[in-house]
Amino acid sequence: MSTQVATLGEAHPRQYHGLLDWLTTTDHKKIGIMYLVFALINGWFGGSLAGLIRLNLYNPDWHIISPALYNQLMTMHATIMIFLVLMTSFAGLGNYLVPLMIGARDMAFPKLNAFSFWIMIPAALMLYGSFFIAGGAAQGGWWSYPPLSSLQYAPGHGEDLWILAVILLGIGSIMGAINFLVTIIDMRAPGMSWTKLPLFVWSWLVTAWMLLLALPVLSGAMIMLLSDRWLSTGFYRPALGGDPLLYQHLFWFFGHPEVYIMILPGFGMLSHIIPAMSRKKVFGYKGMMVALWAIGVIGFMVWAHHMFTAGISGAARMWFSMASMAISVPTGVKIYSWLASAWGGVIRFTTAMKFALGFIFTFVIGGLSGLMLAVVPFDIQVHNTYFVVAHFHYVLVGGSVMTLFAGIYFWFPKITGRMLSEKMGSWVFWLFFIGMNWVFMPMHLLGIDGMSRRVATYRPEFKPMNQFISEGFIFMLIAGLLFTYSILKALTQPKDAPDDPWDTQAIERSLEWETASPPPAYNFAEIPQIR
Amino acid sequence: MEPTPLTTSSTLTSGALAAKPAGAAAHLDPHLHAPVPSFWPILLAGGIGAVFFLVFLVYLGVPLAGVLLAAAALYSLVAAAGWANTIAVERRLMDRLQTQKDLTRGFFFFLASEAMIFFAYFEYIYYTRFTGSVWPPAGMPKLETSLPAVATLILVGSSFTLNFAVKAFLRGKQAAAKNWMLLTIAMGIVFLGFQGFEWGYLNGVMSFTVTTGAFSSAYFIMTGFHGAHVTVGLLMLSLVYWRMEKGEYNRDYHMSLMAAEYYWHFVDIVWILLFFTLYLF
Amino acid sequence: MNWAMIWLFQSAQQAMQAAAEQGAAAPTRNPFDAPGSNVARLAAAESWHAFLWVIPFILIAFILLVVVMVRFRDKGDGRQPAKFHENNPLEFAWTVIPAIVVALVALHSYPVLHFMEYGGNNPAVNVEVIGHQWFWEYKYPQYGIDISNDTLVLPANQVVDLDLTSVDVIHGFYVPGLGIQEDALPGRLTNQWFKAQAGYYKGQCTQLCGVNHGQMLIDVQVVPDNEFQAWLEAHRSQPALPAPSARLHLPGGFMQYRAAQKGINQ
Repeated sequence: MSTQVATLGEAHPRQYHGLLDWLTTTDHKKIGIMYLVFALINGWFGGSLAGLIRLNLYNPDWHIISPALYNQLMTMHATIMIFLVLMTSFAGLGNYLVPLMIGARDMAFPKLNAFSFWIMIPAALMLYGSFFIAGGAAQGGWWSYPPLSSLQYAPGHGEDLWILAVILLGIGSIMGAINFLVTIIDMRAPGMSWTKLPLFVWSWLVTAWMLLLALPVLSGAMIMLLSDRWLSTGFYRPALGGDPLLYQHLFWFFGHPEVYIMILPGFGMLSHIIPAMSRKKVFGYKGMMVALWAIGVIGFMVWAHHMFTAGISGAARMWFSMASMAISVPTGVKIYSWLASAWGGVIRFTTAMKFALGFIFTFVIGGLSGLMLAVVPFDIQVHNTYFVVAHFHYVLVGGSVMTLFAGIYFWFPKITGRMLSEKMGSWVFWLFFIGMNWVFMPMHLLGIDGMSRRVATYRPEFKPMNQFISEGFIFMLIAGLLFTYSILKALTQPKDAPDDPWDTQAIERSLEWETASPPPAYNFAEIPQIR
Repeated sequence: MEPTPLTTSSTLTSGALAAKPAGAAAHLDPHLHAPVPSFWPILLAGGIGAVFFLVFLVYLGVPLAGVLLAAAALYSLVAAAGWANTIAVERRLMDRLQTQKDLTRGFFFFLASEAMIFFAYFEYIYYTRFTGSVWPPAGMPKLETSLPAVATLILVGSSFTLNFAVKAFLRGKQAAAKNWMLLTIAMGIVFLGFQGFEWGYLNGVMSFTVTTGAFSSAYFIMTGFHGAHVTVGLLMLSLVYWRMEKGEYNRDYHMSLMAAEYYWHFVDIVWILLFFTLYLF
Repeated sequence: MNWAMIWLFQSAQQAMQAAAEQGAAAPTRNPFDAPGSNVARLAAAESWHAFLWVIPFILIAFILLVVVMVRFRDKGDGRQPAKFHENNPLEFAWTVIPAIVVALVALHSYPVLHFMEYGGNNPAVNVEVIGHQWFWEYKYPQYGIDISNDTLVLPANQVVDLDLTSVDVIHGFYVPGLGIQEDALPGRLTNQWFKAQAGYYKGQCTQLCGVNHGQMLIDVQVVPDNEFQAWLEAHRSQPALPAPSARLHLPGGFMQYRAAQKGINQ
């Protein structure tokens, strides 16, 4: 026994410093921070692409950006935002918080955890590098539908690099999912039964399950796409008896769960933030948990609502319409439960809470448009128009990004030991909230009025609205700058955050608030026992 | 009605959990995974990234890319082996039963994700079959089933021999276990030989190649992907045999033996489905 | 052909020309403000129906949000937070009632969907719409007309049936004023029917199809029957093509045509 104690006493037999420390770390907290920093950097790249897109659309006659480059920007904006920003930042917060919340010292496979992060770097290099090769980056949209992504219509090698990068990112995500699943199943502190699991951990369990089952299908579809390009196989080539529509089925079998992968951890975070800021316990814990699983299961049965106009059969349209509507029910349960969590509370309007309540507003709008899109006769009217662009930006920017802001403001003190400026935070919130609604709300109208998505130019009647939208982007840009400045400024200050800055003592709280801010390398001096 | 609380400070029996100096209050507990820094993850990630990029360069026909690809693949294998070795060393300091449980569970989740990749291919072939009007597609030869049927019997048989090997091992009959293991490996190699012959026959004699049509593409990618899995399975079995030879397993610790067994059964089940789908159905 | 006929055709052509110029200058019509076909009217009505059923739940959420923010904010008066954290009847209600409502909304749309899909029997005019990078080709097999990169001319108040396919990548045929959108896929035939009012309708490709996707516009001119006949007369240049290879109104059928469509695609 004495030797074992000694072993733990030197918990770091080889301790590196500086850069080497970060390169070799297997500490879930450091990996989580790297994920978050990486996501912020990519957020700036992806956001800049959005800025260029809005600049080009400011006037249909400017043609500042060639249509080919426009398609590259649009494709990469989506790819970066989805794979390198949203998934990455949720993975970062999940990495940081899940072991803390379940009272563990690390993930189940700390080295695999580091691998999941590092594998993103070559993928990102391939994605960004593809801008600089002949023919430029991939131009087929993030769906990369064949035949547009086939060798015949996309002869440039950006498409090849894109496919390889997506497969690499898939490998990392699958490994991450396995790690989360095993960690949550096996490494809970003694006494932490399933019904005592914090909701953020539940949300990551469901997310990991969706990642595990959805991403391999994308990899399979991508391998077939690549072999069509490289080996002249006939998977998606009608001339050889293949079918491009099948790619769409495979892609959206991944693609729709992916949408929930990008929002469920956010749901989980809100279930911590809203009760904490209302000084109340979360309302309907079991309902919240069941709703997460309902989304995690039904989410696999709705994929073809992305294909309502692709010529699928009437019966399929009916089924997918019903299933897509059904998924709004658990989502609604969550919205109402959050409102009930705040009901009767004593609410502190911190920045985190502002983002959380702002999220409810924007996400409900995104949910409403989503419900409407599940009604096939309506969907046919606006499918692949700016209405859909508005819808998914409401759920991804108004949904996921707002929860991320809320989560960062809430847990930043825990992660860094420093408080973010609430004064600047208020500005970040209002600028972002106004800018986000300014940009995306009019897109609903543009879509209903008949402006197609993914276009580099448009009919003259859409010009005033597009100019209005592009102007709103400035608000989001300033919010982003201010947010980044706020983080950098906080990092230069001395560590002043208490262990529990939000005073969650009064309500039930998850375990991360029980340890120091920032937590020591081993998280807890003693593994907590939960009664 | 007071429902079960999540976790409150009052439900914690251990009192204050705030940071204490490491070592002072520490005692070894079953959940301990002290984060040990390691170069292997970043080295392997770099290797796999390089493999992907070099595959692309080989496709472009860049000179020397093939050599570099082989080097990168070898490097990745070395990194993976180094990683595995580190884990084996570290596990000696940890609760092996706990890590064994974690690894086994992780391996099952890994198999689930593998199954989902095959699911994509099965979805492809059944979708094409049931929604296309022309089946079999033009240019599709009647696939000869007798030889693949023998191959199937061999692979299914190898699942049984492997099972015998594991049972013998658990009963402590090391020699019998090793013999059954060798037989399993041999049968796997024979199966691969059958597959190679079948590919050569279809490609050469029947002019049935990857580019013939959607069915042939699916045929080759599915059997090829499965063949790759058989190869990986054979590598795992060989490694296990080697470790058996070195006497590294005992009744409690034989996680990699079980993993190789499950992997082999998985590959076997996939083949049965493949055989049914591609040859019989 | 006597001069009266010529005069009739010429005046019809002039009327079309004028309508086209006027229509091209006007903004794109949308199915909610100015539905131009039976399909658009139905879809718009169905959309409003769904919207009205769903909107109460959204409004409840908004109202609760405002109430929460105003009533329960920390006013610094030492008020203690409430202790409740579950209410089974309430949770049951907000699960079951929305479930029933969305199921009813979905079910209500089924007959409309079915009609939109299978209602267009015995079309008066059949047009094969073929997507190219980056223009549309319209074939009228009954009349032997094949035009490209031009306005699609159709008769008013008659069942028009579009069979869509593509020769290269996937395109999306979208004319909001007519309430129609359907992808044109290589190797497949998709189908869309409607009965339109006279007027000028603008649309565009909705499925990313390459660099000029944004400029792949659609113009449809729906004209009274006599003008349509005049237009046919003016464009009839070759003997009638064989009848369309496949009719697409068979229930559930969307892939049976792969063999049959080869005449179009290759």
